Amino acid sequence: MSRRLTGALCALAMIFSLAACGDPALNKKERQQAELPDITLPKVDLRPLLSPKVGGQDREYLGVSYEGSPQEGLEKRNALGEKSGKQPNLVKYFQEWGGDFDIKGAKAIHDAGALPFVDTEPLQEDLDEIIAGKWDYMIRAYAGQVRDSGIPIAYSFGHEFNGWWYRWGYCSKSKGLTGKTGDAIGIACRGDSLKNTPKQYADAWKHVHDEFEKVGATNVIWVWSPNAAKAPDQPALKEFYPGDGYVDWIGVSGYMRFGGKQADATPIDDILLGPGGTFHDLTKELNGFAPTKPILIAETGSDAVKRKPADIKTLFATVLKNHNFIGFVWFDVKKTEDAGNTVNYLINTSPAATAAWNKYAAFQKMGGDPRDLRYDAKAAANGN
Amino acid sequence: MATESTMTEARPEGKKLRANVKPAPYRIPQAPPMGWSPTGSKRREWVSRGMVGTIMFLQAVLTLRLRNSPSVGEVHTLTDYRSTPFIQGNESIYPTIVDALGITGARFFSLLCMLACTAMVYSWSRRLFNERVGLAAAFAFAVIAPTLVVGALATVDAFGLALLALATWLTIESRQGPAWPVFLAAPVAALAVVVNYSALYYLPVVTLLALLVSVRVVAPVMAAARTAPLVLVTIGMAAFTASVTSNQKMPESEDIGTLAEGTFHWLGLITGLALAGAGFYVKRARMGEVPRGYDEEPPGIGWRIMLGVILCLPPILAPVFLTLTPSVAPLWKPPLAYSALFTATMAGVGLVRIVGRHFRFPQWGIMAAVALLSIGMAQSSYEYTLWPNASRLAEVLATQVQPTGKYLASDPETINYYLKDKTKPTQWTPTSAGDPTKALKKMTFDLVVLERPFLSKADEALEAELRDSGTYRILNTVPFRLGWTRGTHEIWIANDVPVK
Repeated sequence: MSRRLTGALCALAMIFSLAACGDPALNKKERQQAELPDITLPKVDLRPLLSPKVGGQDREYLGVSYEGSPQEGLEKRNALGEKSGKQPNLVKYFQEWGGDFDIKGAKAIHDAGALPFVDTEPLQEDLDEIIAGKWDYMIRAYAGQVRDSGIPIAYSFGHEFNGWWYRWGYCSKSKGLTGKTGDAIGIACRGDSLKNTPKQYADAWKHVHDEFEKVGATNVIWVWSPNAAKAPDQPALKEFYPGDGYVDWIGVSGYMRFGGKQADATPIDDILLGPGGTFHDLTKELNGFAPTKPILIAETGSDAVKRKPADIKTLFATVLKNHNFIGFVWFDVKKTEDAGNTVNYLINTSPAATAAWNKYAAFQKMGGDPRDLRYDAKAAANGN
Repeated sequence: MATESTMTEARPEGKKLRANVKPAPYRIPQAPPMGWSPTGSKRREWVSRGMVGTIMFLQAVLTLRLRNSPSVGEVHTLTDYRSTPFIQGNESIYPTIVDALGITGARFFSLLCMLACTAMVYSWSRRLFNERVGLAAAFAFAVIAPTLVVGALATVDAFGLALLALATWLTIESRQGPAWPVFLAAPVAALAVVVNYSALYYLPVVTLLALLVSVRVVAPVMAAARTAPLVLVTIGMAAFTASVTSNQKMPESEDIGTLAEGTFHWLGLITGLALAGAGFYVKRARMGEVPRGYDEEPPGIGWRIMLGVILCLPPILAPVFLTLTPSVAPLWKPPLAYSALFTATMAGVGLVRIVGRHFRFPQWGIMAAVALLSIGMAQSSYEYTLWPNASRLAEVLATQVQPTGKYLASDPETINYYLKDKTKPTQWTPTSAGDPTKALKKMTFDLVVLERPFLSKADEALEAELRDSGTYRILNTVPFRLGWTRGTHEIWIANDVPVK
């Protein structure tokens, strides 16, 4: 009897010792997932950079863009700045989406007095995979590196999404523009890319944006970059737009050609915004759904034609005269396009072009170290 | 070393040794009937006190490892930050202490109170049983989650517990004969209830303990007389509490199922040990390490059953008490320390009995102690993350707020506390007030703070408005932990129309 009682009491104690088993406090797996990483929050107020024309400020971004690494771009920018007498204050570079954020390169650009602008290209990932969260680990790792850099950056995901020449783009059956059909139209008309829809692009953008926010990467200026090309059956741009809350700048992309003839040597009054101009239709459409968003000309250039100095003048005049334009990025590159033709967008293709650039870049409102920008909330509230 | 005399003493008298056997150069001395004294000694007392000190040091370390910013309940204890909620006790006594010490100081005061409780648990368990039980009880009480969490919170619980423990200690002190401690226990118990109304539910336990210990030393009539003040205090304080709380608007407590489940998780192990201890104790008053006659006559079985029931009942009734104890969600578990205060003694008996006489099965005791410690640590860590840490949020906000700004937040009171030098409470509007979406459209607020993903429906509408309007922009997302869930404080700032 005595042994039975002892056994029973010990069993009772053991049963009660299992009491804590269902307690969520003891869930080891969930505990590990909830551990907060030891992060330093970026102390970046983007307001002076977001709106360099309000809050008592009156500046335009004088940007340049290069192929290759950020360091290579920075070296070329420095060389251009030394020759022209004015250092560009925005340096854009391209990067495959999903890799590491080049903290060292971006910081070098920032320390040199320019805003790093990274244009990321999802060359291997499908939009539906991104939306489904398949690549979240990659987004978070990248966003964590962006956050840890502690510097402001401009960021674009899948630029020129409305075009038919990138994997993430939209396949417009644009016979009139390309003269081609089927696969030959462009990469967006091949394989899985055919599934791409404008809504998918907008949703993928939102997904990437939200993951950045979750990680605490709030030091990012989100640049939504449509291309000026317009095919007859292309959906409305608004359908690609993720919403004002997800976009800081609209980074329009287009080159100074007229009627598709880039070799045209005739100066044109307003090659950018005038009737038939590069961004004429695009800005009109943008004004319909995002009238308050600042516009950065995120990629532009003019071929080595006689008209080039005039184009440069038009470009500077466009951003200086129009309040909703906050600057431009010149694609300072000579390259061979897919069709086999060579285009020379280098600024210094002729003494006249160089002189035009040097003259207008010297304007006080153009460029200037972004770190010196000071935003005055009171002035902004009073409409200045 | 055996002396010549002991050798001689041990040699059998009158027995001749055989010629070929030489006597061994030593003799085994006669073993005394007991190798140690069952009664106390100065040295043993100090060794035990040293061990209690070690247990209390461990308790302090385990408590101080809990880190979080002040919870809503703690902030509301401060007179300047008290809004609609209430203090579960007199609104001047404890809040005066917190106002004087600040929240950090008040948390340290809570720790001191809980350390005092541990010391008293040891003291009365030693008086009711022995030092070994006292040490085991003190350990069981010191390492469990309710003790650790209450010791780290600037709330009325710790002070109320310390006063109730003092009343209990005085009651059991009267076991040694004099009546004054049990009489003194009555006003202390009354004060405990005034400080924290939750103490009321445990006054019957103290009263019954008073009756039990008195019955052993005096005649039943005298024992009743000794207990009378505590009976009167219990009745009086019940009436007092009912009158004070009748007009208070109290938050709803959790449902009984949740309370019972939580109590089982938190107090299951210590209650199991206590029930086992009570069973062993009822079966046998002593473990039998000491031959009869070496200590005083043990109490009878009826007395032992009563003591077992009194000390094991509080955790079993705890869910019922908790339904009557409104708490600031989600911190409803810390008041379980009241039940643990009494159950710990019987759990101490359980631990000692499981180990057995002469430490025969130390492995069982070690296993139980490790389980108590590890579960207590895990549960207290979890509980202490059940409200968002606002210190990092405050760091970011401090760089943004202005003396004239207007701000909107899910939990403005905690933020107010942090930014007391930078903003006035009137500058902050809770998201629950009215329909702030209209104000957002007019950009009335300079800054908005939302807690994701713990958004109310109104907060969700707000976030949608913030996102869609484009007139606000996220400045920072500050991560925090809520239990095992990760959340973020979203800080939205007015992004003045960039293009005109």
